[in-house]
Amino acid sequence: MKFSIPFNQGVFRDFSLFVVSALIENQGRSLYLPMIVDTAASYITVRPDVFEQLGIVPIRKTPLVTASERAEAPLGQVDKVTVGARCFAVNSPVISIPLPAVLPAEGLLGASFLRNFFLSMDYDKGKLELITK
Amino acid sequence: MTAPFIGYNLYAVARDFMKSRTIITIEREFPNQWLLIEVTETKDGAPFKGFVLKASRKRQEIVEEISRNSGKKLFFFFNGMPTSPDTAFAL
Repeated sequence: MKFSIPFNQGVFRDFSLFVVSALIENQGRSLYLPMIVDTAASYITVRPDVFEQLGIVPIRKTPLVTASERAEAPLGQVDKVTVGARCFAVNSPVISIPLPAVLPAEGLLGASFLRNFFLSMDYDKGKLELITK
Repeated sequence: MTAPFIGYNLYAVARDFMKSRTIITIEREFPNQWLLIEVTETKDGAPFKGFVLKASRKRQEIVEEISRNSGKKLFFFFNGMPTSPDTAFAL
């Protein structure tokens, strides 16, 4: 099934980024965060303070390569991530890195979530769709 | 006359914080602040209505409230553009 996903129109207009409200659920905590749909990110990525507040337990550290550096990032897992009305993934890996303060979102929605769907991003029509496999 | 007037205003502020309103309305009232909202209604899976649990210009003050409100559906975000529109991102 195909689902049209609402996204932040202002951020799309200014930066050509698709920012969606993703619901992250873990250990009885439920938090909507604005997240950039990022096909170049391997994992769902949040900042360290949010990682901690969600009660995510680091399983191990994973090597990290960004556009500007090589480092390591704590890797954990959350119970469930939902985008739109019906697109969800369970037991999704999440990493924690100190994202830039000027980022117009709270995290990155990477492959550990997106791999569960077909993804359609139409920049001309301003349309984002997730299609269940 | 001054004391009751101030009291009324504090009551009005508290009442407005606890009132469920659309996210768009809340965004108009709290520009350029970090917000923690309890979500009461969604539309197409995105937060649509809620009430403000806390608003601040300091991110850390809001983040600390997340784990204190477990069991609630929360929405955490910065209500504003943190950089100029001509900024390019390479993540």
